[in-house]
Amino acid sequence: MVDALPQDITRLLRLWNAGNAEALEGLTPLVYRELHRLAVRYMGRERPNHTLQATGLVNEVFVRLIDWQNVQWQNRSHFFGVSAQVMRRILVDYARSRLYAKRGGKARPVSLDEVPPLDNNLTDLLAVDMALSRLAALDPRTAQVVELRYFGGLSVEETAEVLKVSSITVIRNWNLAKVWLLRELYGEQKA
Amino acid sequence: MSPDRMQRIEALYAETLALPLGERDAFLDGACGGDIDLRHEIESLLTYQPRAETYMEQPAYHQVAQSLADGTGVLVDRMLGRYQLLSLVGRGGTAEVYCAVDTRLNRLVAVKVLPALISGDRERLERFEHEARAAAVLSHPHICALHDIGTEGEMHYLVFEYLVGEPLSDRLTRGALPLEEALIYAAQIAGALAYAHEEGIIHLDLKPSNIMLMRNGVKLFDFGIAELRYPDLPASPSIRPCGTLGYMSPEQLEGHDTDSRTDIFACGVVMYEMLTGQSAFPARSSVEAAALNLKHGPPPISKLKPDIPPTMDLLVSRCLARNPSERWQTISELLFQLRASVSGR
Repeated sequence: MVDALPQDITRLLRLWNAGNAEALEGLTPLVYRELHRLAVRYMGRERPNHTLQATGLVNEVFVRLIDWQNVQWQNRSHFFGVSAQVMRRILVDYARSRLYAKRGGKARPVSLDEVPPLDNNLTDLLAVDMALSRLAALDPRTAQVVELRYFGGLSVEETAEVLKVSSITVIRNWNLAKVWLLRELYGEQKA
Repeated sequence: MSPDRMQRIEALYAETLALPLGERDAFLDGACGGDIDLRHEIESLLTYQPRAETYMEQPAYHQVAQSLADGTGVLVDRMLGRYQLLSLVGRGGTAEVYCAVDTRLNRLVAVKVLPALISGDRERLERFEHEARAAAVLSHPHICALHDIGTEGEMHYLVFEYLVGEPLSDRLTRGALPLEEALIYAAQIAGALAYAHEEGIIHLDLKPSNIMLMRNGVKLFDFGIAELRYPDLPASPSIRPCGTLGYMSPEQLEGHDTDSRTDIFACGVVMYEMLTGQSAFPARSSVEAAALNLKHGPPPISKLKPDIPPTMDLLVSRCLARNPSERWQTISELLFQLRASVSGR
């Protein structure tokens, strides 16, 4: 695979933002590769001093690759917002394809399946994605906070910057979103 | 629910959360007034607060990467020789097993990739290859066929027939098997062992997770490849995986010589579990506990399952004799008895 150039990534993000769905195909391999790189790190197969950082993939994939100088984004926050949406799409597609591959995908019968934790993680991710769409109908900003924080991996401060609200507001939205989503996913429980 | 209502809930939730636990009730009484639904909504959300503290701590992509590391294996989509790995289907604690396509013969296979610990140890690798070559000669309807062994870079792998079925271990979580079915499976297992023993190959790790139940009977796998069993076995035997401890014979536990009668013992343990739904030697968390456990045999099958004929007691308990010389001496003897039981019914 040929490495995408910074200006390509910027162009692809812009295209996608303008409604060009095909642009996603160009961005997807970048994210996939980063995912696999991270997975290998989780498996401890890399040098032990290579510490994990909980930075967002947006930062790891897009920010460091983007050509900030030559491309005029409206501003940084616009870029973050678009990147988080792209990440959400790619991760959800990825989780979906993985689950289908395991669960009765055509050429991949399930048999010796020991149902690894994989399914729980990815099922959870898909469930969050769907619940988030319902949340967006009730409270668009709270849903956006989740998109930026969870799918985009942005910090509270970065999220506040993108949404042009205070950090306190982001934290409040984030707190409510988490309990709301948990209840959507797991149902009412007795106090 | 209207967006306004949601705003109200959000504000109230944040205010409630900021209060100490003891003051929340009084606060909600005042703030909600007579709005019972609102009050209920806040309380319902609060039940998830403890869980929410650690929820979504890491961005989604970490979750996906972790799943990849835990479950899918990093080798998915890779080519090992002529085998294209499609998905991780199992992890025996020892090696990763992938479902793969044999691109030359265009059929599905199971590829078992050896842990790095074996691959990095030349002596073990040689022993492993020797054993694999021996196991590859086995061809029997109730033994999972070993098609190929290979090396790709530093990775060593085994290629097996791809099985679609349910491991006996999974089936046993739902309790005992019907007598009829248990006897048929037992006869097939014994038949497979009898064939292998004639070929000079002992399984030495027979257990329910190595037995696949398929539409047309059982298949045994992991035949005679010792290196697959304890790849991370250090000098001290007390760290052996406990999953297998429950099926090990006294001579294995005590480090004495093993022979075909070791398989007969394991066969008895498996039969006992199929018939009663209970492990013959449970709670073997360490070699010491297991040894103690072996001194007292398991309770007779007919005691647990009164409807099982007492002849089965005799048949199984003779497999489980502590001293190999007191067991059935050949698997064919056991097989003969089993077939007699099956046809006598």
